[in-house]
Amino acid sequence: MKTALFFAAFAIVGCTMVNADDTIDVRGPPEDQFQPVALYLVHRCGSLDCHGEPGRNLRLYGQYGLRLDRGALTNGGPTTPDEIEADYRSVVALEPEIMTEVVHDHGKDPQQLTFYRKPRGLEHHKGGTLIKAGDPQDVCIRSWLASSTDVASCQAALDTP
Amino acid sequence: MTSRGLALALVVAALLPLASACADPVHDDAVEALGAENPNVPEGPLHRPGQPCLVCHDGSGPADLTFSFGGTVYQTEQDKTPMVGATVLLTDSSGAKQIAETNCAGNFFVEAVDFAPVFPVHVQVEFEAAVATMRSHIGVQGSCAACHVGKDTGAGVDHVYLAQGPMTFPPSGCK
Repeated sequence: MKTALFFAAFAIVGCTMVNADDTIDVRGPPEDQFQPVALYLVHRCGSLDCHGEPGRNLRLYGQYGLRLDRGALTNGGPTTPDEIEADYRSVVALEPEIMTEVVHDHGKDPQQLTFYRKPRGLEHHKGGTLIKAGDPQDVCIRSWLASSTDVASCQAALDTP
Repeated sequence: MTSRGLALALVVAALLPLASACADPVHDDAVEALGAENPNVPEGPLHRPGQPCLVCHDGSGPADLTFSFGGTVYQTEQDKTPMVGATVLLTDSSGAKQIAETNCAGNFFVEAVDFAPVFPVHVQVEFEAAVATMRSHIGVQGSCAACHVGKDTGAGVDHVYLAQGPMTFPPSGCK
């Protein structure tokens, strides 16, 4: 009986400790510098069989995959500003606390982020190793995380086969 | 129950959880969702046009052959008549190429032993002077029909087709 009461009390406390209205502060890299990064990510990672699939934790919307507007077609038009905003939220909110740390440190240690580790092949990634250290994709992402997006590298990254 | 029978029962009871641990209910559900075979089409290269081939042909069974790619090509955007004799050219990110040809059902497939691509993969379908290039790449999925389910289903991606306008096609259908 005592044991049952203990677990019941524990369960009640567990249910009341979390406030549904609680929020955390997240500091992401500059949203106004994200557009060239987004266009690269959508092109490289956002196909329907990869991160353009709704079930992925990192969900990307855009021209080559999932569309934010349900009436829009894949490849039916360019990635929209609303989709870029949704992609920003998706990337930043994937690991918000870690993202905040990385941005606070001016992007010095991007390897803390799963978003970076997986395509670099530092952690298992179903899509394989897609980015090499120092290539335009790498520079694009790292520069954005350092709040100084290298637009030329992001544009060059679009040509990655 | 004899002692031998009891021992056998214990062995079976011990092995049962192992057997269930090996099953993949997601895969099983995906196979079941494909439905039954068309009784008029024997199992083989002509069966199940328009379905995601790698559900069964990904090495997990129940099919014996393992594919890296497979799908069905139709003639036009408007007409889901199978495209016969089209060439499907697959190019992976290392530049390796593989060619397959569509059969009388419009189906094509590439066995995994013949082509193990480095993703992403780019695809082009050709017939005589007509060329259709897939605008996005394939990231991981070898079944065309995993994404190309048809606009009529409410999805944003049409079936795989060669031509947007009318052209002369070879006779379609299997005898």
